[in-house]
Amino acid sequence: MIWDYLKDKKKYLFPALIFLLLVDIAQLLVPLMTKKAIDGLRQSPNMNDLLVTGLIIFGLAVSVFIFRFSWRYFLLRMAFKIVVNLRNKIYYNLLKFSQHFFGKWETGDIMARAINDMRAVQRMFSFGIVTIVDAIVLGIASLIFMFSFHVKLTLIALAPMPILIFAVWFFEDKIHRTFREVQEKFSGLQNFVQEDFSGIFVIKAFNRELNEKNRFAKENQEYVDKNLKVARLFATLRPFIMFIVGLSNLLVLYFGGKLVISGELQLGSFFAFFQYLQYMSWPMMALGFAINLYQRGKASLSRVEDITEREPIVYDRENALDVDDIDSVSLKVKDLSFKYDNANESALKNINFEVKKGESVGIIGRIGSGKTTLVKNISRLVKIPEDTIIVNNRDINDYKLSSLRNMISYVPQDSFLFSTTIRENIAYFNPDMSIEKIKKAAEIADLKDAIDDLPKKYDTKLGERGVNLSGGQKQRMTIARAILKDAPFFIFDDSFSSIDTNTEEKILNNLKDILKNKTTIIIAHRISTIKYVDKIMVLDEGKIVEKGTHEELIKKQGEYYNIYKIQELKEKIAKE
Amino acid sequence: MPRHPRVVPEDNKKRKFDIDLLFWLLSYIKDKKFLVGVSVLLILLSAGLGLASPHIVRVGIDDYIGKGDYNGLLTLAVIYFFIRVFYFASQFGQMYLTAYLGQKIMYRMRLDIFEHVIKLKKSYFDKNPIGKIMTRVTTDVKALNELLTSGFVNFFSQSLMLMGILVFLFLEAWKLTLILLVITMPLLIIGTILFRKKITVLYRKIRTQIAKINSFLQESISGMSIIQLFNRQEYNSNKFMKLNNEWYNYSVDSMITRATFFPFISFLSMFAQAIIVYLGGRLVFENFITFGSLFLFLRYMRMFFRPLRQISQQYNILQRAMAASEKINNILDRKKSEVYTKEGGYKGELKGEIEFKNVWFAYEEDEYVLKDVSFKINVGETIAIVGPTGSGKTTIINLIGKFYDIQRGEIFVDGINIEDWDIQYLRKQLGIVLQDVFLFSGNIFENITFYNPDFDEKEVEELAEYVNADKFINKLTNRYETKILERGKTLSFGQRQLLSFTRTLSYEPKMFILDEATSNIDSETEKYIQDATEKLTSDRTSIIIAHRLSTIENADRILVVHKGEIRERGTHKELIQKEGLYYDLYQLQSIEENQPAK
Ligand SMILES: Nc1ncnc2c1ncn2[C@@H]1O[C@H](COP(=O)(O)OP(=O)(O)OP(=O)(O)O)[C@@H](O)[C@H]1O
Ligand SMILES: Nc1ncnc2c1ncn2[C@@H]1O[C@H](COP(=O)(O)OP(=O)(O)OP(=O)(O)O)[C@@H](O)[C@H]1O
Ligand SMILES: [Mg+2]
Repeated sequence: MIWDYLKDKKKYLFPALIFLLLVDIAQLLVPLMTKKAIDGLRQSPNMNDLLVTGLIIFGLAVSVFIFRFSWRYFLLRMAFKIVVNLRNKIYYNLLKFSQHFFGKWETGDIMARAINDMRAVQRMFSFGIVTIVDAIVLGIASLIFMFSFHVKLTLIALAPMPILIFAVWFFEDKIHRTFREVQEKFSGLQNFVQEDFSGIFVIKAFNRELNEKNRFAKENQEYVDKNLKVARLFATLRPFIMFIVGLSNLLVLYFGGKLVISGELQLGSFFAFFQYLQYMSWPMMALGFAINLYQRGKASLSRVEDITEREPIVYDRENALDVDDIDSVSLKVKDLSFKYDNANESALKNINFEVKKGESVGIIGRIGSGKTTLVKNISRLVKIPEDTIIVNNRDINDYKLSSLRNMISYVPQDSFLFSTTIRENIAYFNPDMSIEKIKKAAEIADLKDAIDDLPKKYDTKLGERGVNLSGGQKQRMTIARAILKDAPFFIFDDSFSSIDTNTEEKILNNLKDILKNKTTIIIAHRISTIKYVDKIMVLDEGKIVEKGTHEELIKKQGEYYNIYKIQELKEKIAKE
Repeated sequence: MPRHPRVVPEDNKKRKFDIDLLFWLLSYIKDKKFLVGVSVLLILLSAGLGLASPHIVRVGIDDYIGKGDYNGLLTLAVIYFFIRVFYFASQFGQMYLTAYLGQKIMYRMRLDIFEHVIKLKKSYFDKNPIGKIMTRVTTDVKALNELLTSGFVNFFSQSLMLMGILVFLFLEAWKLTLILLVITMPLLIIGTILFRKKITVLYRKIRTQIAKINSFLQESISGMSIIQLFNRQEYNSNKFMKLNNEWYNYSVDSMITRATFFPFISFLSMFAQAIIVYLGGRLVFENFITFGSLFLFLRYMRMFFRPLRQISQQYNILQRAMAASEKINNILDRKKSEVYTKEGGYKGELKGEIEFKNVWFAYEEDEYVLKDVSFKINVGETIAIVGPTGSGKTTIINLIGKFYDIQRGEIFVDGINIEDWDIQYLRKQLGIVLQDVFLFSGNIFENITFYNPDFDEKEVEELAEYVNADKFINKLTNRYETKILERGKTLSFGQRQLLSFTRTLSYEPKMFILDEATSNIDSETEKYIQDATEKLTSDRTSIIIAHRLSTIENADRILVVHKGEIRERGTHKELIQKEGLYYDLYQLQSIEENQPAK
């Protein structure tokens, strides 16, 4: 799993490893050189030799400096590259995921993975590698030195190691799991914050600040608890490793001392051996760090891979086609049923209808009756069964997603706008659109006057989700955005709900020309909105309960007639 | 319409003194003095025990092994063993305690920042991307983690180490030590200054960049279906890559800076060794110092550089933490001007009389959205506010809840200037159904009660039945326990609106304010809701905003807003007779309603 990320980074990894080795070697050489100098001093003091040794050490110092710089340079660049690639991959994958994914994942969680977990991954691929390499190289080197110096003493020194191996094995799994929990809790925290800040208006309106603070405190506490759990593990593991090192020292001191006393070993050699033994403690400590970095990184990486290794559910099949007749759209829905992954009941049940080229259809029905779900299906925002939706005489699944969506101008129920300029929002389909066209679209959506009132006009920047617009303005922006796309197939999902009747009337009139030859689906709750359509469908509990023209449906005196009556009655009362 | 929301130029703000930030950080330790003391003691203890080990070995070698004292060696070994046990214990204690302290402090910080942020005015949230504000509470605090858990403590203990070793060195050979210091210190100081200058700028850039990536990501996730429907994947992923690449470049720059600085410290260490070997050797040669002390000196000198390197690493952590706390501080700084909570305001039971007196209001300077608005709503009245979109209806509501400050004029609630009200208390009694529906992740029950613990299940179910929401709730997998995701994204739009409506009803407010509360709801359900509200609001003041004139049929009086001014007012009858703005709207609608189809 980890090697997969390193495979194509060899040109960074290998130089880094080589420089790391060089550093270690050079560092081992320094004490050798000083030893040589001192030995030289003791035997035949010679100022020239001393100078040479001094200079060699200096030379080593310079090269260590260069080596050190170089491994960092290569290794960290590699780690940053890996992180950037992973993060791009996350984003790239998100762009391909459908509503099935976004219906289950929370924003804050995804963000935590893309930002917070990346940090652990980055550290694993940089300092994690260093400490592991360090631990191994220095460990082996000092082992070699020790063994070549004195086999018996070395064996004594290594006696406590099995305990260490056991401890590491014991801790590793625990640490991994706890880290994952920590990161999950962080996601929870991030989610909470993101949600509360997004819904700040509601919190304020309900005066729930204090309450939210308390709820946050709970999340916060859970995160802290998990962190402390990790802290406990490490506060045990690292000193424990040091304790083992101490044991090793102790054994050497005692048994080695005995050897010296019994005359089997010279005091000088014993002393020297001790020096080497000290070299062991650093790789051992590095081991502790390495476990930390590695487990943290691995836990985070697996969280990141939950996104990067996930396959999209809605995707272009092999040999997917472009829509051939892009100027007109006919639509046929055959026995379409659809159920959301986490729902009990199907949201759509055996839907059958047909829309001819250039025809317009109105859909009306109770809340939650499946209207939005139906148009989501048609634009393939969700996965749909084979051969249930036929567009221009072909199964919709045969088309490329991009091609299919190019032919739909969709005004969603949720008036989502981006925090950029009005101009970019309207020209969302194509940022290179000329300003004349943008203005035209704004005019059709009856936004012209409102925008012209602004000091910066079309370059006015919107806040997130368009917070600085009124509800009706937002909705009209989304209408303008769809108009500018000017696709052959228009979908309006409750797109006039926040607009006053007067303005709605104006917009519908303006749209008449544009929609003349287009296939159109209009979802609405008010009969007045769908009065121009060719036929009307009434949806209830995921089924089409009535279909026909306005007159037919009125005559039928069914569901549609009921809605009509309610609305008419109200108008009557209002009129007195 | 708005002027563009000025993003608060937080990132260009003049940098605060590091010292101030440091004090701010330290203020969190203040009430933890005892634990800090204990942890310092433990550090000293473990440092002492750490140093004791080699000493014992030396004693063992010199005094016992050299002299062949077997029993002495045994005793020493036992002592050594216990020292290592204590060492283990003290290290455990120290590590856990520092982590504990760090976590406690971060807990407090996050809570403080969170509390501060949710008390900021609505306008702050209008102007700053959520993704950016978020990073202040989560990632930026996390960046302080290292400093708080290991940074301060390490800094302290390493400095002590350093001092101890320095004393040792001086005692051993003061001349050599002096030479050592004279050669390395200036280089060290210059290096540090240069490093600091460069790295602070870079760390700040990285933090800002992370916040940008965060915001972009968050917006993309929220608007994903739009991105897909408009085939903007390529454009967006390029943009994201660009943001990411900028981050990469800053990161590489900062890496190069660090990759120069840290090896430089190690270089100094070796450089010093070279000098000591040469000069020290010379001194030995000239019999100024003994051979043994040169040997020792070299050993301790290596020990001298280890804490030094550590300290420089802590310094780096400190710089990084500063970059983060700077951002946090920028938020905490907006104390007086942007926070609402006014203590000691009027706390009375809301009767429901609202009066606007010549109110002028602008979201952005000089862009007046309400112009000289005056009206009065009497207790128990039902008032409808109508007008074309963008005329300022929602804005009037926003002012009644004092979500924004007015520029001119006065607003009275129950005859008391709204400035003198305790805002929390006032809002608590207002029942506003906002135009923008927002639900929280949690279950249906929690959303209706909004985490208010005073409700039991039966009450909520009755309420839901009352507004006809029970129909769809009963069909959900776990009824009232069904979990819904952020913004209620697994519900239909109308269902969300209905829930948000129910939520307001559940609070039994003293006054109802409905802003397009049924715009996404079908006529039949709407009828239920209207009947329910009528009963609930009969004796209470209520304000209804609606685009369909039919929804406002029961209003006692109607205010017609146009371009931020109240152009007409009166009963439905009066307005019809007046044949003005209202009449126009009304006429039009009745015409359409009379001939609904082609
Ligand atoms: N947070 C804000 N910042 C800046 N300008 C705003 C903000 N909110 C609204 N506006 C502007 O103030 C004006 C009045 O908006 P308001 O929301 O009061 O209209 P409205 O009458 O409720 O319209 P609608 O019927 O569309 O909801 C609009 O031009 C809008 O663009
Ligand atoms: N992502 C989802 N996951 C699970 N269930 C969902 C999801 N989206 C919608 N539903 C459910 O599917 C049903 C149909 O929803 P849909 O949004 O299609 O209704 P609608 O007819 O558009 O209603 P409205 O008029 O309120 O917009 C509802 O019961 C809703 O709760
Ligand atoms: Mg819908």
